[in-house]
Amino acid sequence: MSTDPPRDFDAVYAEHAAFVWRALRALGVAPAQLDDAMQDVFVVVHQKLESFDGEARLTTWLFAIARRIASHYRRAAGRAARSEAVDHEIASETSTFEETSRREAAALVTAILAELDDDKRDLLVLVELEQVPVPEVAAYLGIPLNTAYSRLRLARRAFDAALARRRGGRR
Amino acid sequence: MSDELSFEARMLFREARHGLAPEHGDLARARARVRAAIAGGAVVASVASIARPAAAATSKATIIAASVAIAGAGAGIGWWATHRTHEPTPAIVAPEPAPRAPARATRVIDDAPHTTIVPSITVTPLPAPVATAPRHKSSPRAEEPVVAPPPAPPPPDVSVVDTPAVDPPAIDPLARELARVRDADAALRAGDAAGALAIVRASRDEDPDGQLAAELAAIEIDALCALDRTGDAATAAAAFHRRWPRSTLGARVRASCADPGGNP
Repeated sequence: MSTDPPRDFDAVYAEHAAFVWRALRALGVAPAQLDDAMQDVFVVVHQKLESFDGEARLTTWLFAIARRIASHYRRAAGRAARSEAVDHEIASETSTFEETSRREAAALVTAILAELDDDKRDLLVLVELEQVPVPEVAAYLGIPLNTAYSRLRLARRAFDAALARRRGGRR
Repeated sequence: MSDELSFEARMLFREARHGLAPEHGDLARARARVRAAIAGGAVVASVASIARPAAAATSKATIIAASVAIAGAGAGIGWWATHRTHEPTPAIVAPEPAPRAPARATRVIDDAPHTTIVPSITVTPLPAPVATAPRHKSSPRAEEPVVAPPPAPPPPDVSVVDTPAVDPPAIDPLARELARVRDADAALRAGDAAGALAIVRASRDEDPDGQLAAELAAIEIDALCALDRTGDAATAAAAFHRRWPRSTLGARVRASCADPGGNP
């Protein structure tokens, strides 16, 4: 568990804004909505930072906020609009091969995550995308470690299955 | 089946981590908006202690002036970011019928306490928006059609109006830039594209690398389109995409008359 969490808002932003940005995107916030979603997250952080008790890691605390914000945006925008935004972003940007590859990977991961239920998506974003240790995730979710591993296994299987379906569909 | 992700999936996540990362300038732009929102909501008692004590000496008049600028500019940015498309955009501020809120305030984020920003400053009305969809994401009146703001609206029915000791926001370069965005936006909406263009360029002369340079550039492109200066708009749009290749405003620029997306 984290002790002595940073209480300086600017420091929190500087250190974790990129994490929140990635999390919001992975959780399905459309690119055009990211600025708004970031604002929402960090306004809440600004309000609540003083009351952050350090029982959770700062990253998982931020993720919990980002998750609620992203959920709001997903409900509001709808899946179709979200996919449209991602597709448009890929199609319209002029990039190097590496950038394009990364962007396509991001879009594919985001699209597959959007198909999963919330629990699986949260686990995969934290563990596979952000490399948060499973014990921390278990603490964040308030579940036993073994349960976290069990759910993670199911989430990984679901992701792999969805990926295989997409790959199969291309061939 | 293994408990681990497939190799392909792991590689995909690794690439995606880069692909999902913010571009240069994204976080600074987002930070500017957060600052504006926080400054606009700085009178909320629960967050007052976080603000810088050194700012406490600033007069209330300054607070109001800054909030007016921030609120108006926030509305302008929100309007710009969405008025060209009809995609559902619940999270962007609307021009306020009852102009009392900072950029994007008064929104219940979740079920937890202290998640609502409640502005307690009543400010003078913003310029009347023209034919713009209602955008305020949080107000209970968010679905009302946007018309000219009512004159001198009564104080908002907010729960926190007894302004405590405030750490007021200072008017800094960002606030000035926000005011420019607001003014340019208002001019454009009022049909004064030339005026909007002049404001944008004055702001650029003042601070070419301002934190809202992309927003101003986007308004400039729209103003050029409104003036039927399509060639200039295309040039400006191309410059926009070169400077901010992954800007969230890029789609809007492509939707403009400049439309360099079809001819990158």
